Amino acid sequence: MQDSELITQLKLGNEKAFRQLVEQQKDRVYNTCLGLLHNPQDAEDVAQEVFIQVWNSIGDFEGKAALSTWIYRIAVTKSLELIRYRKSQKRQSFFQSLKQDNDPDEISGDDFFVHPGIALEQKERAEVLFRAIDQLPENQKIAFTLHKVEDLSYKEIAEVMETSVSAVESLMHRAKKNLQDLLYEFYQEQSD
Amino acid sequence: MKRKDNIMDEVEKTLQSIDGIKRAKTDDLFYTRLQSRMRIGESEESSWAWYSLAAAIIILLLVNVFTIREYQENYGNSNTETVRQENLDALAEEYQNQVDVPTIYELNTNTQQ
Repeated sequence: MQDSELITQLKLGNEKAFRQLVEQQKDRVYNTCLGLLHNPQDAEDVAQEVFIQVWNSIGDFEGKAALSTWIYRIAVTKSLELIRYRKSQKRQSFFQSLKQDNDPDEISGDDFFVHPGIALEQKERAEVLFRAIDQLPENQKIAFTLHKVEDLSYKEIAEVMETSVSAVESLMHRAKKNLQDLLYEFYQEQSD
Repeated sequence: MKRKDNIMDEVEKTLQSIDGIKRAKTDDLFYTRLQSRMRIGESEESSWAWYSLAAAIIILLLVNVFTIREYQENYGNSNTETVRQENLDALAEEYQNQVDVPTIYELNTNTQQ
């Protein structure tokens, strides 16, 4: 089924068309969510939410962008919502730990994840890199993740982020520079 | 200087560590789990709709009861008053007709004539 036919069938509430869309897009959505959230369970939950939103709001899809771009956009938005929620939860528990005289490091010292698509010999370095990516500003993190983890071109990223290609280039440049600084700092501390 | 070069080398290798990363995949049961979640969502939504309907009916009944009571208190009493006044007037009129006792002025007028 072509995209236009798929959209028409989805708008008519055709469940077969929905299943086809899910089977086509589920790995892209899951991988994007995992790249941003760094947690397989959260990524699965958010990926499901993405498709529920697609089903519920396909009537609002105007076709200005490709269907896949629209779905990526929902995946990024939903993942960011969860990241913000988790951050606010962490802040709350941090202040609670201060009130209760607990060690705040106990809360921030959570286990980290390694993406399942990383080659075995690179897992250790990739873990360090993902920790650094987590510290990037939101837009840089989105651009870098979509490019490196989901292998999208700058043009595709610009469409997902609703910005220009030059803006994405700038985001990528700043993201690399920030990552270099963060990693340099990390390895310098390690060698001390 | 050599230490700095070593660190820079580590940084570059780390930046390249995710090059050629493979796409993470969900399993074959993803759609089944998605469907069951959507069904749960639908049943929750429909039970919310029933709760809202029940709440709306209860509120409507309460408003009606309140309005009826208010109406009875305000208009019901004044109606009784009106009826009571009408009864009194009728009684007075009847009394006037039955007991034809002349007043002092009427007596005076009769004497003068």
